[in-house]
Amino acid sequence: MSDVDLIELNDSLIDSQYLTFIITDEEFAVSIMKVKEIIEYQSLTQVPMVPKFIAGAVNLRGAVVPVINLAVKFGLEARAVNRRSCIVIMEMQLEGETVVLGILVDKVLQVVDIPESEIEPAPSFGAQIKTEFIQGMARSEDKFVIILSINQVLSINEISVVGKLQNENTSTLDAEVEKNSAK
Amino acid sequence: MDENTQIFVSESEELLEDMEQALLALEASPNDDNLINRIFRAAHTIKGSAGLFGFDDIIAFTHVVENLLDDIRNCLVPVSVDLITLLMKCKDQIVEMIENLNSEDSIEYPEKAELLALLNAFSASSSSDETPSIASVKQVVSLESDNSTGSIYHISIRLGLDTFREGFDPEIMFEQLKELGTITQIKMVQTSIPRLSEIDGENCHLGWELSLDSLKSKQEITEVLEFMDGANIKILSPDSQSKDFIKLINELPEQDSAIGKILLDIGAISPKELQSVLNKQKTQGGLTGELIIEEGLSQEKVVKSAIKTQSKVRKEKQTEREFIRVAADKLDKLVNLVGELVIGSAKITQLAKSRHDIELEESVEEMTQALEDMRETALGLRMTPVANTFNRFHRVVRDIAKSLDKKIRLKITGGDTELDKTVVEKIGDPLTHLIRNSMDHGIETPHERLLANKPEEGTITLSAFHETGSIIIEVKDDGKGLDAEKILSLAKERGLVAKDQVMKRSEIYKLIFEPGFSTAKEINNISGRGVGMDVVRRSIESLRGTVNIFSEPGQGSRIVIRLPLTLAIIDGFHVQVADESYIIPLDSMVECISLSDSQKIEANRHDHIKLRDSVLPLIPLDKNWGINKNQNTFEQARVNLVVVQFEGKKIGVLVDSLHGEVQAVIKPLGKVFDGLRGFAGFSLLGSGQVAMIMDIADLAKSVASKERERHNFTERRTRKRVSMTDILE
Amino acid sequence: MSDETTNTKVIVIEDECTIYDVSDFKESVMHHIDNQMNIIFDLSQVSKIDASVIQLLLSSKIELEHKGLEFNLKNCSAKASEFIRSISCDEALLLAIEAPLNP
Repeated sequence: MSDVDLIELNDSLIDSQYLTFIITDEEFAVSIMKVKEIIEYQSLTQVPMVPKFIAGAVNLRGAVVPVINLAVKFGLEARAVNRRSCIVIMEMQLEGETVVLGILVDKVLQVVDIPESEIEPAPSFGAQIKTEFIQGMARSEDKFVIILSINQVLSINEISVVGKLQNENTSTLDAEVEKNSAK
Repeated sequence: MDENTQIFVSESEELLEDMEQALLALEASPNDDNLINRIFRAAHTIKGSAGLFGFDDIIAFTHVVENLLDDIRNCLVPVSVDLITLLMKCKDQIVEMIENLNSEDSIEYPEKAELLALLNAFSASSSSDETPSIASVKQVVSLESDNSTGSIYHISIRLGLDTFREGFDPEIMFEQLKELGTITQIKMVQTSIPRLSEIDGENCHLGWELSLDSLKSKQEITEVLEFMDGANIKILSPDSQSKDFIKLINELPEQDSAIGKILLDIGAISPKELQSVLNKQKTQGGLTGELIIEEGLSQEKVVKSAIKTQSKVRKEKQTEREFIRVAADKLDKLVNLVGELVIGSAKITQLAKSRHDIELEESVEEMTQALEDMRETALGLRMTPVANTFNRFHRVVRDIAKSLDKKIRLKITGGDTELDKTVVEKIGDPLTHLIRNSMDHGIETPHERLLANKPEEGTITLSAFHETGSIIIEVKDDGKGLDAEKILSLAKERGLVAKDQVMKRSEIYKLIFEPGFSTAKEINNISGRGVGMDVVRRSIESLRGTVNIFSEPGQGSRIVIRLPLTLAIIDGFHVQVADESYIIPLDSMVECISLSDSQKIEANRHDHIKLRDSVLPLIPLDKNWGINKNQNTFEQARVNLVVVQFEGKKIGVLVDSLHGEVQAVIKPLGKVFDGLRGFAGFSLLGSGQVAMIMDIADLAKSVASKERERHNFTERRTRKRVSMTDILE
Repeated sequence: MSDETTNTKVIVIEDECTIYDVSDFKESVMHHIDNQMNIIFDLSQVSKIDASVIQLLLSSKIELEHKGLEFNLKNCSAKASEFIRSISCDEALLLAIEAPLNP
């Protein structure tokens, strides 16, 4: 085996590692490459006037990190925070900038190795979650694990919805007035 | 660009900046020799450095400039406005050449030949001096480097008081020196040794003045001598001028005349120099360095060897000025780390308290205090005075005024106001444009001004000051003011407003900031002509600032830029609403009011409250901020009202509790929350909790617009639909 | 000890003379100075000397000059003169030998 092959092999080994966790009874997996660390749930600071899927912000050793509630994002019924709730800290590239984000999960399971051959394509129907968020499905024991296409889930268009308010050149306060009077 | 070139570029830029300031000052006081010397030194240093790197173009050009400056220095050529204009153009030329160092292609400078011709025409010795002198400069450089003997450094050594006790033997030091080169001259300094009756034999009072002939750089010599703890060692480079020796004499602990004599003995200065130093000191008592330069006492040898050693000396010079360059991201990292420390210490403080250990509490208290100081210092590192940016406008104003045939004076106030470095850098271009605009359209010709009973010379005032948590930068002129009618008709012509629209004058003025008002196509070169004011507005908004214009016909205009103090610590007031903490910038606070029962009901039911016979609009925290804590019942109603104001407009914020003043570090909202309105950023409280910093300006605006909407809801709907279609197109 | 107002005392420095001896050295020299003695330091017996002693010699010289007394160095051993030269104090000390300064 040549050196080049070796390197490719090693890369694919890491590539095939996934962190699995539970959100609202569903088992999800994200590539370990994006995961920076996992912290215990701690009380979040609410950020006003943002979409509901933004759970708030948390202090990660002096840096303020936005936390995304994926249950809300996926339209699942969000569970109350419990002892096992965690924040998975991810490092994403958004518009060329490194951005640190947290995602709220109900329980972290394990790091598993899922070879590409075992990943099945996302079903085109039946899934509650938008198919573009799903990289594929894998069987874990008797269940299916949804492997998230995290770059899609946490893309700038998906999470910085607040930007839209600005483009409309009106604040939510105005929007509120409009909504109220529309009723 | 390699690192050395980088150093050359940034150093030269600094020198050229200084040269320009000196030139401007020289225009006002043409007989100031200090200024002429400053200008000369700048040119000379650049030429020398360029020689080292072999930037032939720069050497050749700067050489001619330097010749003329030398003539000016020797009073062979009188200072005149034309001369200064020429020198400024030369400065620009050098700037351009330095900027293009990176470029691969050989660049033609069409103006250079003309400038050279002018320089030679001005120069007194033009006929005798050959223009292209690269060869000669290079020759000097190479001759010197071929020379086997090194350069003569002057070294002053005063051993530390504890030298003997520490078991250090000066013999080692001399061995080291001998490894570095040859000691050509040496004198022991005896004057600081006490008399036997007064001496403590274990204290060390030994010192020497010596000349070292060495091929090593000053840096290397410094490093070798560094091992002597507590010793006071001064090394003067071979290119040191007389003033450096004067400085040395002044700094050394011994009597000036005694040291002067020693320096004389070892040949570092001439008897004439020493004599004049001592005389001048007698009569003036003050700093004499500049005087010596005036008299041109600098030794020729010293000046020549400057070229050779400049690169080595360069780093030294920076430290001598007590400045070091630090990458901005390192500072940010430092600020973050200090922030973490502060939070960590808050936890320790709480732990210490719970242990009821007085001693522990006290030491924690001390540490916290030191940390606070440290945080403040760290934050201050990024702040720079706006003067750096402001001062360059003297030149802009001077040049444009000349080209417009107007007489305009630039007045600067508040240059020491500090702003975050990034903001200072980014505000330059918008300001340039505003100033150009004022000069172009605001200030009248001298003739017009005289007819209008105004002084012939117009004034543009550029000022900076703090106001309610912001920094205000104002560009004010005493020109003819904006022509509201003309603006309105232009706006109508361009379809910005309806043909039949009636507007208030202040609203009309704001139209100039609308995109599409200016016809200019180009938006990249902001300082160029005819670029729209909308670009200015956008640049300022990108700094989270606002811009406003006020004008009085015949009296002039005033443009007010309001900038946030990004990254600065703001003095804030910590309030709590439900479980959430917020920070209100202290500067914008007017008062805190504890509500009476009846006020409570009113305030919590409506979005305004009657306060001392006027209606105070409220920021409805709960409804819009997603804080869904039910407070319909009387018990749950908010009890405290914080009154804030922005641009004279007062609004109220209902809160549950007031936690007092805090110093808050603004952490930017970041990519995800970038578009969030109403908040200036996050901050970390002592407990580690994240609090949001309210942006009162933004909140006030939204409250104001909300009020407007209420009055005029339907009309806006129509208008908005129109603007949406515009966007789609 | 002598009652004469100006007498000359020869102090012979022997063997090793270093920082450990400076305080005794000072005391003894001061004693002679208080007694208005010119002093000659004989360095012929020196096997080791250090900078603190050299400083003390210089300090003695200054004290003596202040008092209008004479300072002299004599018979430098090879070791001593080598050391004095190595730290460039020869001029300061030897000057005194060649041409004692008048008060």
